[in-house]
Amino acid sequence: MNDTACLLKLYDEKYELEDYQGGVPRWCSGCGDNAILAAVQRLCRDEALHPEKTVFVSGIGCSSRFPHYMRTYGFHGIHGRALPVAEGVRMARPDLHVFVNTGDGDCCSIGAAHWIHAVRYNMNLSVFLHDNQIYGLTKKQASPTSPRGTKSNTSPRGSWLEALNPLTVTLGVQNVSFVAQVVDWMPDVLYEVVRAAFHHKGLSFVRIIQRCPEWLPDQWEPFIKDPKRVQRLESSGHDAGNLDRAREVASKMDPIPVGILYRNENVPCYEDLRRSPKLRTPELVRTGLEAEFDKFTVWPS
Amino acid sequence: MHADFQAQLAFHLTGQNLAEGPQPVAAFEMIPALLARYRNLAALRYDFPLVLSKDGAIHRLSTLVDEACSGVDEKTRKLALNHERGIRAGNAKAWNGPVPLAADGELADCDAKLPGRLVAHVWRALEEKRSRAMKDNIERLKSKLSDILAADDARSDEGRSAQTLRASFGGRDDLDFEALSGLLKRALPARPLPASRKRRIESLLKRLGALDFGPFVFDNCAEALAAYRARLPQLIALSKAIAAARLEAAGEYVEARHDEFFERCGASLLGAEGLADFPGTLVQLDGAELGMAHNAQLAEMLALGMPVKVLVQFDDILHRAPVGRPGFALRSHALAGMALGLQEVYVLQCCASSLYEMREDLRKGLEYPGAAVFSVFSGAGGESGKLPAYLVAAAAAESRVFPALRYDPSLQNSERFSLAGNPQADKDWALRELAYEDAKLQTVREEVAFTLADFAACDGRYAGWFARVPKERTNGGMVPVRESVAAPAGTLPEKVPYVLLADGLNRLHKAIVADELIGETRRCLEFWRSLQERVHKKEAPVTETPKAEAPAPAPAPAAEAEKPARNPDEPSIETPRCSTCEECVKINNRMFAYDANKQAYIADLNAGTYRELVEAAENCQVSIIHPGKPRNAQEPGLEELIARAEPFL
Ligand SMILES: Cc1ncc(C[n+]2csc(CCOP(=O)(O)OP(=O)(O)O)c2C)c(N)n1
Ligand code: SF4
Ligand SMILES: [Mg+2]
Repeated sequence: MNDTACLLKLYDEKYELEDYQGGVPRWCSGCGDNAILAAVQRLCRDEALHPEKTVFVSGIGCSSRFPHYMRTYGFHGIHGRALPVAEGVRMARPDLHVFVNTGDGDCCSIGAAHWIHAVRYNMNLSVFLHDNQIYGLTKKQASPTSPRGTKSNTSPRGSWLEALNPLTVTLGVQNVSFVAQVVDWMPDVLYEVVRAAFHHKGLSFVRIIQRCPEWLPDQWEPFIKDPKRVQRLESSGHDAGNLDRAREVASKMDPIPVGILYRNENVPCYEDLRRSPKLRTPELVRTGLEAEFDKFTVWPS
Repeated sequence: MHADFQAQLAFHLTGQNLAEGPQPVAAFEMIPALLARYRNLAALRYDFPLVLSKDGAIHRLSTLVDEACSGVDEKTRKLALNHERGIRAGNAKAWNGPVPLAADGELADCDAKLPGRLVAHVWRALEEKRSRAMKDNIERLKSKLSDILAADDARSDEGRSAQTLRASFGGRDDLDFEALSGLLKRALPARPLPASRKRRIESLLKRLGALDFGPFVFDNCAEALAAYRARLPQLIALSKAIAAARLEAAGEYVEARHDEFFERCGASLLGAEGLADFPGTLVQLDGAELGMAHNAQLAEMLALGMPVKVLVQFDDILHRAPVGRPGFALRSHALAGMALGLQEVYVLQCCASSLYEMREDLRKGLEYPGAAVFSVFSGAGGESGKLPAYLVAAAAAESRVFPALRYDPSLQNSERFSLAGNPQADKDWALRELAYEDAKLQTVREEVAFTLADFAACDGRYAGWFARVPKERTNGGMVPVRESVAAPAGTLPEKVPYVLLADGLNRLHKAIVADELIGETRRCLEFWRSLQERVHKKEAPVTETPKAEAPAPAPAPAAEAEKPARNPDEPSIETPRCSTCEECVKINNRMFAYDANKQAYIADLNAGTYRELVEAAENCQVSIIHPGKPRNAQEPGLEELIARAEPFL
């Protein structure tokens, strides 16, 4: 019957970028989040995603304001908990497209446990890590991805620890199925990777290096000025099917590798393994609940 | 010597025995020498019996025992093999012996019932799976539609009344439900479902009701066709309802467009693919009854595109036509030819003895969305005396009179037709080694072909076509049938053909074969060669359907070489590289604007000053704004601005 479904969709369904534009972004001008928003809105338009069938889930941070700026469903969650919320949505509503926007603080600091397990569960989600290497919303505290020596409100004399590399961490988790890296200032690569992530079946993890002109204005200047310091994986012959090679590439940051580091479509998705063949009709839910309640009923003697 | 040859030739040509010539063979007196070793099947471990387990799978008993025995000690293994022998002979007391077997189910031996049982067994399991998916699908749609109605109810005044709210809290009394109701009514303006949509959903819920899941099994085409025709309107109505419900549940039903569509569309909504989701039809026919009239009905049914699976079982392929040539296997050849001619029908022909080996092809045919024909020779209907049906079927496969063939329309052109299920499919005949002891008790090995003449020697009706030559009368004027068949027909043979037969005491004999049977053997070989040609024939190359264009991504930045030289005096923006950083549009959103991809371009140069152009160039995160030369020489502070613009030209 799939052919019938296609037949009926033959009428032209056309969306414009405006159909996905929600509130006016309150990000600073020059903030890389703007570029990510533009790329994602283009993706929605080009894939003709129904706004009412699309959900953006986020945690807390500048980047996590993302859902407000999309005219789709959204869930601006609590700090570090974007992934579990998204997983719940995915489990209950397999018909929706679920995206996650999370910051380096949100994902790699307070939300790190959820991140690791979400990768292992490999549910069908597109996860965008807006990595500006700083806590932006709370006005400049060092985050786990801040390079050693980053001066901030919590590390006035420069941070002491080596930065965490979100790519190698993700690539080290069992069941990882899609890992990519992009920089916000290369719109063509950004769009292509975001699109590949959307089409991937499983959890696609995209680390987006995002400029924060407010708190770390010079962080990426040298890389923007010198195109040789960014390496396009696609044209370098990188084999995205090779996990060991992906880990090797992921550990280098100069030049910054951009593109898909690793992709494996054969990793099973948790929701496919666990989807109940039973329909969750209201009756089923009610009988289940009642059976549970009955266990605790105290009958008057 | 010469007289012996004369007498042998006379028998070969006339089929009549002369006194003093070769001796007649009585029915069932002898069997082909190659089969002599297999007289007692119960002592052999071969493909049968099969175990038909509940999940639709087919297992080989011996394989189950072997798998269960892996890793056990030798003694247990022997006991297990003993137990297997018991099951085979039908005197085992229990299913599981010394080692538990991985599957359980009905035993099926290679007999007259096997083809029907096996096909129905796999078909049922697939049908069950299909109807379960269909039922789930319908249930899921119904629950989605009900949710839409339920949500509408909950939003209605009725749904927000104090009474309903109280009931939904389990009848508690410690909340002020009047107040809650008032609050909710004010907070959420009621936007009820449009009446037409509500009506449509209610009617869809009714129409997504009953579907007869069968099973639809018939033993003749006329009834199968009539039943299908009677069922068709119901299928069309249901598939319309499912399509509409899908749209409705997804919120994509557009009245202006779809009302009319559903009004007008009919059977065209149901392609073979769509039909394949609905319960199918199984027709089991007796090959002996496939006369012209039945054949026409069958052809019509297959050509209709209905998802019908037809099993045609042949029990006797050596049945002689009343006049003219013997015409062995005539009906099965005609059936295969007709089905292959239809192009879109899946065809599988094989002997019952190879059904296990070809089980995957059988399953594929049953899963194929369109019609499929399975033509099977059971080996159980001829006059073969004590030979078990399995041996007769295997002999037919070996002799090419009932070759295994498969045509799968879902594959690429060059791979559709296959003879892979035949022994030594690239040769004229399957050659086997025959080892025997000669008069001096020495082992002799000989390569022997098993031809149609050998196959006919299994059948009591044709004993008259063979005449035994006593050992002392054998001479150089005799050749094996395969050599005789290779010589051109019509000329007077220089040598007479023989086959090797074994008597009840396993003694080897040469028997002359009558010319009528040699003619039939030659035709059998020609038919086989025409099948081989079909495999080797280069099929027309398939024209690849062009892949659907992916939605066009944003225009990538043009390659360096193709970039038209930019005039440094003219203001410009490299739009494809814009990273939407907002800087320029915040400086002046009439001068700078975003295009459809939300990337900046210069919308109106006159809407701003040169100073704004230079500032934008300085602020641009990716330095893609080029201010050019000032256009208004009167603008204050030009000297300084020109210097600042310098790095961005
Ligand atoms: C449970 C909890 N702890 C701490 C905070 C304070 N807080 C808000 S945003 C933030 C860091 C955000 O950084 P990041 O995720 O990198 O987002 P960015 O603003 O950089 O985009 C913190 C610690 C909070 N909101 N909730
Ligand atoms: S503070 Fe940094 S991350 Fe936050 S909006 Fe401004 S530029 Fe973007
Ligand atoms: Mg951050």
